[in-house]
Amino acid sequence: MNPQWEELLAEKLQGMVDDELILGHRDSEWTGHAPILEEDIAFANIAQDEMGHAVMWLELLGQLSGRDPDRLVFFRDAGDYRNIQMVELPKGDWAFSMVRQYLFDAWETVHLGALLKSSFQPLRQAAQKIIKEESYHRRHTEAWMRRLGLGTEESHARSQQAVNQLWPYAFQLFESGDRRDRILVEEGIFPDQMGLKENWRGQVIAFFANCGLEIPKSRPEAPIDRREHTEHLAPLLSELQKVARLDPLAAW
Amino acid sequence: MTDTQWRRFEVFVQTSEEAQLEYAGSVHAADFEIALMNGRDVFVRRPRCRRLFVVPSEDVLFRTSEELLSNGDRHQPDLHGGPGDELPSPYLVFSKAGHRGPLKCAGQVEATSGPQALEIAIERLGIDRSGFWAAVAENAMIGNEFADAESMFTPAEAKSYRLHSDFPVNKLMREQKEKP
Repeated sequence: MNPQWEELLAEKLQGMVDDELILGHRDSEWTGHAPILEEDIAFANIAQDEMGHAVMWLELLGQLSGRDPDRLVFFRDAGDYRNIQMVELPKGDWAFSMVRQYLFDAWETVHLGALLKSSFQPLRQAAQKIIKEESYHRRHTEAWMRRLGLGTEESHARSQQAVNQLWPYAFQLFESGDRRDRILVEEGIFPDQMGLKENWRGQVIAFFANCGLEIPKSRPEAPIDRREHTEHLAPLLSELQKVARLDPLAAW
Repeated sequence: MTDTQWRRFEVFVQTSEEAQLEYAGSVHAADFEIALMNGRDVFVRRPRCRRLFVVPSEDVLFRTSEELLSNGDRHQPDLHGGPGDELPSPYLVFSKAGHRGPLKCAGQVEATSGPQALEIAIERLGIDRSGFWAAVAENAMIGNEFADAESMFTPAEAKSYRLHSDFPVNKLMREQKEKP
């Protein structure tokens, strides 16, 4: 094995872990507050699934880097997290959380589809497991998006507002800024993000059009690095990590 | 007062190819598509499931043995066909003897109403009137698409779900308290 690509892949996995973990936590904040009881259960399931995906990527990351999953989750500060900013934004209203979940689910199905062809077997295997669950998430959020977008004047207005707010953030999913990524792509380990971006963009724009929603003109002014975070991440982490940090030596 | 609840749907599951359809419970949903998803999320996220059906609650008749014995249904105008003499349609009849376990599908009959379907089923199947019963208008049932089964049900099969007894909280708490 080539230590250079192992290190690069570990960085990618850290981003994937943190995206799933932070989104899962934000989704879990709806538990007890979702529009109806059945949806409360459904969305709590999705939150738990996203956490489960984070665990799968964490285990793979642990194998590559030898780092302990619990230490990575509970004892890293905000500055060391590598999630995109979209997933750390406060949960907002229901339309905001649904649009965010849709944008993420659409990306994840495209990304996992590409990982199924990875030359690195453990990535392929994990992707195979996750993609089935993810296609259900996507159906669930698509069903909500259609009803919110085409529903009442208010549901439409709130959804459009959420799309306007979230659209610029979503592009961070495909940005890297690291030129060394070429190595992973050339080895067939990790997909070329630019190719995925066009696929994702086409799917999302067509789907939003079916929901009566428009894509805003606004674009991110400059690519955002995964090391940069909003002021919302630190409070989220302090809640997520609170119990583990009460007794760092406790066995769970 | 206005009822702000969404429509109620009854949920039925088939746990394996060979298994009879079982009654799982009810969910609220604005339409059939959401009802199927809510049925999946509420009732079959962990246990095994092959196929899931939902039917609007108004198309299901539930009866206890007391209700059946009181024969109240005989006086329902639609029992032996309404004024328009409706054509019979298929009903699935569900039953269970005691309080335990789900209502299971006992068979299909042709009838013009739920009460009539139960009467016909009880006579034909020779089952006694004890326990619980349901008659479901089969034409009103919607099942999940076969193509969706993999994403709806397969992830659950690879996961274990733990019982509360797997978490020995009481024992651990006792040990903590007994520590000097």
